[in-house]
Amino acid sequence: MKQALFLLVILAVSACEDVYPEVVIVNKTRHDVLIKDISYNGCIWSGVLAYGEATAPQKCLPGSDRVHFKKFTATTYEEYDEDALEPLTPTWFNYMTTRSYDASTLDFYLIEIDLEGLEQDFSAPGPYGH
Amino acid sequence: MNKTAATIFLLIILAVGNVFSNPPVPPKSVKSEKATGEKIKSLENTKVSTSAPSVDEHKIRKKASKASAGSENITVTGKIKRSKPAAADTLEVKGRKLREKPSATFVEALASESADIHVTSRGTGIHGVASGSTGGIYIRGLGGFPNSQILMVEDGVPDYQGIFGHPIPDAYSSHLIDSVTVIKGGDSVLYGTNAMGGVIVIKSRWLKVPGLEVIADVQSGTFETIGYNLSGLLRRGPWNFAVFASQLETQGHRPGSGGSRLILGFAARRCLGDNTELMLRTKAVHIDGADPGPVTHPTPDKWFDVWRFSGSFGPVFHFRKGTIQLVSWINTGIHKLYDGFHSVDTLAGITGKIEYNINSKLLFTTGATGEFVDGFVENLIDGEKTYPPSAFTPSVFGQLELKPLKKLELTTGARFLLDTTEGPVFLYKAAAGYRLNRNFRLRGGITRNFRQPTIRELYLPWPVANPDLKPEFSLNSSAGIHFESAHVDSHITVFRTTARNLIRYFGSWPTAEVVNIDSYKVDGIEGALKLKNLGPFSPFIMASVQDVGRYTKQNPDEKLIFGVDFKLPLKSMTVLSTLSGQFVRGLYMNNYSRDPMDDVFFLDFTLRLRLKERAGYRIEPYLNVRNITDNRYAWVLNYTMPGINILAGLKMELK
Repeated sequence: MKQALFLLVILAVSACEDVYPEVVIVNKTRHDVLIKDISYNGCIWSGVLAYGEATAPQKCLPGSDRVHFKKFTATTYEEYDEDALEPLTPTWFNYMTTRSYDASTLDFYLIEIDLEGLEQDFSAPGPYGH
Repeated sequence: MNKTAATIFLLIILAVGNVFSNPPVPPKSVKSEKATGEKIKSLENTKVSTSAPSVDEHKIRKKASKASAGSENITVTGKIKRSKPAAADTLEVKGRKLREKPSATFVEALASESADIHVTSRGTGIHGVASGSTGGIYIRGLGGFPNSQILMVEDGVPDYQGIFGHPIPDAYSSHLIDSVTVIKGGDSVLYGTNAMGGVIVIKSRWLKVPGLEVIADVQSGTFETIGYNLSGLLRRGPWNFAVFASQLETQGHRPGSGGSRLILGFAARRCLGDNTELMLRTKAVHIDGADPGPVTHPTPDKWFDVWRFSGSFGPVFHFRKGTIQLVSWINTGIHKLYDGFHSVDTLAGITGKIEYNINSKLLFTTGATGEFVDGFVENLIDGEKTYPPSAFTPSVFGQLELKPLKKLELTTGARFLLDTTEGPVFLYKAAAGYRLNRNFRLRGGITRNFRQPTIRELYLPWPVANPDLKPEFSLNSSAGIHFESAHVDSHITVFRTTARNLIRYFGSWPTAEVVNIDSYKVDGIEGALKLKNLGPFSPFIMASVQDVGRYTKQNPDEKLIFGVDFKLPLKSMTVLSTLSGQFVRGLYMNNYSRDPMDDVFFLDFTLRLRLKERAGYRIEPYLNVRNITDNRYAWVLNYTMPGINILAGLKMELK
């Protein structure tokens, strides 16, 4: 009986989420490309990554997913056009990787995003409904 | 921190239990209708509570006058065990069974009891509201998001939101439930609007004998999930009280999938003399969480915060041939969403019902109901308020249950209702049941049901409204054969659900539309086979196959539930365990068979060690392991369910 109770307590304090894969995303696109709002398999990173920077590690769901993010190319941005008096708002376009990455439990994954493996992402969810 | 709080909570319960665990020894209820001399002698020193008679349903009082041992009059209360009506197409589940399920929520536990009930989920305990919410209940092809075709009735009172017209799946906890009856195919004759695809009738617990009962249940598990459940029942003199508190907090298996749920309840019942009682029930629910979004594009910042309050009050008068009941109720809610949405809605109503046993073969039920829905919506960002028109719906209904032959039972009924958009509406039902012998019975029935368009569908443009919408109607029919014996409980039912004017949303804002669709038909077959009393193992299997036609959104074609219960009484405890699983095929994320989803398969396991009662205490540690094969599956596309996860708990009963 005592052993059974002990087992239950051990199981209660154990945390299955601790075995979820750790994932880090690295911006390896180009010097003038920024990426933000990166998401992968249930994880979301809210910061902006300049070229060469990496996200903090997060525990994501096991499974397979592409990396989704918003991309901004600084060299194609013009702060003013000929008609506008106010500075133009930079436009961040939705992109995702062309391939899916697998992540398994108890592993660490470092996913590098490069320019050759990108495509536009039209799978973004629709408007919020009530 | 949470685990420390759980320990403190448990210690407090123990302390409280010590204070209250020595009430007067409750007299044992006498359940015999025949008072023998010996029994009467023993009753002389027993305070049978005549001042607080049990006036529960089906209870009768008989005076055993001039009994053989003496001439004094002694009141003996007894319970007539009516067999299940032969014509009924219902599923009855005991609250205890639901509590002991490994399922994360009440509605998920219910869906594991019958293959023709399907419930969506997204995680470990919070279904949520608005975008990304789950908990949609489908019964034989009707219902689901937004759940307005399935009616929840809690202690005789319909429970749905005034503006949105559907119940909130997070607003229920099985910890104070005595029993749940699912009326498959709906019953708008007895329950009015929304009872289209099914009715889930929840009956809460009362203490049946004088005394005190406290049950505390503390849970802790994966994803920093922690739950506290405390229920207290007290019966003393003419009073009967029930209090209840349930809290669940979880971080969820991914950002945004966590949240919290708090349910508080209080009920009181006062007997006035031998034949009358007054009942009061109140309940408060608070839910907060977020729409986690699809795993590919998480949106954990899309939060919601919901408060709901409900109360009902009314007398019940019992007379020799039946009962008269009057219930009034109010249900109001405050919903806030991350985008500035703020709504306040109200549902209020009153029902008077008479049940009259004309004779032993004829039971007549009649009554009248008035329901009122109202509310307003505000944009907290720009302060704009919208006050849509309210609606009042009066109706009268009647039902006749007759037994013309010993083995034949018939039920028929009708309701006349005055709908604000449609005008007079006539609803009806008819059912028959025939007992072939002790084991077999045949049944069949047809019912015409109805749902009013909600205030949101008619007037509130989120994402779109249409004031010209007509009510939905369904005509549900079913026929089945049931076999029950000491070791086998099984049935097969074929059903057809037809509906017209179903209200459906198409497209997305700002080009969305909400319209009535012409017709809808679902044909299906459902069955179950349960073996029992064959030693420690009791296997069961349930299956449903249905053709839902074009409207396939989260409405599966096939569902299989299987498992085995294990019960082993030992010297110091009883070991209870269940290994169960589900396999669901034919899931689509959208109508017209678009966006097919992977089949769902998972296994759950639960183990409970029910220790023998000692000095008024009973302790029961338990362990739930969900998705033990660690499968990746989803009920909603890209809302992946958690892998293997564990919940361990300790239940303690003080009597």
